Amino acid sequence: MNILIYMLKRIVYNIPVVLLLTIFVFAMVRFLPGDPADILLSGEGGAEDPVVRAQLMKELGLDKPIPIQYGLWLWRALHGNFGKSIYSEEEVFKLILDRFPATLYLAIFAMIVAIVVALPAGIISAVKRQKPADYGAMMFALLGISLPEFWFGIMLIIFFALWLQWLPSMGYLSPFQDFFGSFKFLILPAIALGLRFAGVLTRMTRSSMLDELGQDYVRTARSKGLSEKTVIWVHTLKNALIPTVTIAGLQFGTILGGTVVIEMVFSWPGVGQLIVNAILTRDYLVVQAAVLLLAIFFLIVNLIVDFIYTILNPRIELT
Amino acid sequence: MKANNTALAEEMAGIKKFSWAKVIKRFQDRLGEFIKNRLAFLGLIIVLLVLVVASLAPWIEIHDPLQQRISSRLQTPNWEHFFGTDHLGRDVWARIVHGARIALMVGIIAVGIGIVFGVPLGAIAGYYRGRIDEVIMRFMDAFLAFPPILLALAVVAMLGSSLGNTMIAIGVVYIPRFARVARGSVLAEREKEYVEASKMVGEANLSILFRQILPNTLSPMIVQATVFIAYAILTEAALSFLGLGIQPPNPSWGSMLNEARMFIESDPYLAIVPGLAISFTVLGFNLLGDGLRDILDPRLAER
Repeated sequence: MNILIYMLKRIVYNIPVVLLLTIFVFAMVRFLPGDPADILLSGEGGAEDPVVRAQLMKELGLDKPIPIQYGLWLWRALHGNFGKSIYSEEEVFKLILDRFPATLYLAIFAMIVAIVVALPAGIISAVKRQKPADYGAMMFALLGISLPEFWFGIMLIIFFALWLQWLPSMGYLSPFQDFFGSFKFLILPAIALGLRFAGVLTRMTRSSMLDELGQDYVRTARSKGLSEKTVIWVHTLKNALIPTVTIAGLQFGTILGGTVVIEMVFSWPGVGQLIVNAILTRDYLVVQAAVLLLAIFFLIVNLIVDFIYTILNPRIELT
Repeated sequence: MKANNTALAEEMAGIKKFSWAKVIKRFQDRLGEFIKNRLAFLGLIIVLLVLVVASLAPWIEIHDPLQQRISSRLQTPNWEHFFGTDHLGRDVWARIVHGARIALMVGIIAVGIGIVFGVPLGAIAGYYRGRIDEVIMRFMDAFLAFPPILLALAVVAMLGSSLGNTMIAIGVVYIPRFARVARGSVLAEREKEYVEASKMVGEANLSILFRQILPNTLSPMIVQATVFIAYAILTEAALSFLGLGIQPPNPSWGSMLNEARMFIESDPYLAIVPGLAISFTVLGFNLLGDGLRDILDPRLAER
């Protein structure tokens, strides 16, 4: 019961945060230089004609005071109506939804790549503390958080696509069309995107393993004669993974942010590429909606991770 | 009278007040540790090296970083051009050296913006608690809901791309992060005896907060600032790489990479050099940050 109340509290806490987000992106378009009406009507046909323009402004409520305009905008946004793109004249919401799966696919796969590399690296690093394996893993982690991911991506392209010609340097295939075929496009961007996260995760796994290895129960397990393997793999790992997995979830936003740059490097047709191109072409309604939706998505992921953590870890205090 | 009171209160509480001499003393004590911590020392050397290169840029760049010489375009590294020349015949060494200035300037000023706005906000939230804490931190949470680069992009989209706007955009990212750090430290610090003592002798709240508590939270702040400079440099490079940060012809490492992308088949070294410069600098700040954490803030230290 306690947990349910806690979850409810967390959800309620986030409602004002989401409202602030909407105010922020709403204000974003208002503060642009020039007449906001020009931007807001840019996707609608025939806005150059003053009569049509006046009518459109009335329809969208642009003749009303700002707070009411915000209310109307929010109402339309709740119904998935964010206006139209200047260029494709498509509904902004549809444009984003169409591209979202590609971004999610890349982000999730990058996360998997990072976890597969970082968990063993972090565990070995903690178990073989201050041995060469530890130094190696820590060096890897340090490089992971220091190399710019877009540069690493370019290096991967030069090496694997241009020199060895093992993989294509850019492009995308939907996993729903051809699951295994889509891999050859996915591998390089996913590695580039996962690198930073792998670095962060390796460090975190190591330090939470070390924390657990210092606990009393580990000493007890050792003193009752359990083999070191059992102690590490059965007793310690389970507890060490809880904080690690949580932070992994909370870092999803970093990966999501990273897609913006990586998608540009690999011409990956996701939301990140959409945002950057929209900024470059001043397609502000697309920027506005995409920024808002990504931020809300990130908040929801954090909430879910938080709940899972709460359920998994009875030691946590519910406040 | 008041000074007397404060001294009395300190005596009563039997606590030590903050003083710069003590901070310096503590730092000296730990300097030995710092030099022993070889990786941190390496970080310090790297950061100092980049600082020296950036400040001496006009004297060591030899060629003008902006001067185009089409006749000598796309040269591989040679004695005249250490790192070769780019597609417009500009000297890559000069551009890298000059880029160090931009990277450091943006990194340091952006983090400075984060500190100047974030720390007071977080400190006030942590000290007064209650309603004001709720309001401030809710705002900060809204900003934290954006993945960092996305927030910077949104600000750039709003303000347009320029050197100043790049600093502001990245600075905005760090305001809520510094607010969090400051709030956490102040929360822990406000329960201590010297705060109680200062209150007893009637010192004003804001004075306690800014003159007594905040100086005591300096250590975690320095550690965070060092690490955030590393991130800020990466973010600047990413923005410039996307064409939304430092605008050409100014030599940002990120924009150099962006230009080099067109030539990765014929001249891959053009893409290698700016990336190494970014990695080297960021690595230095990360090593230094890790080392400072071990030394200044043993509680947070990773083993």
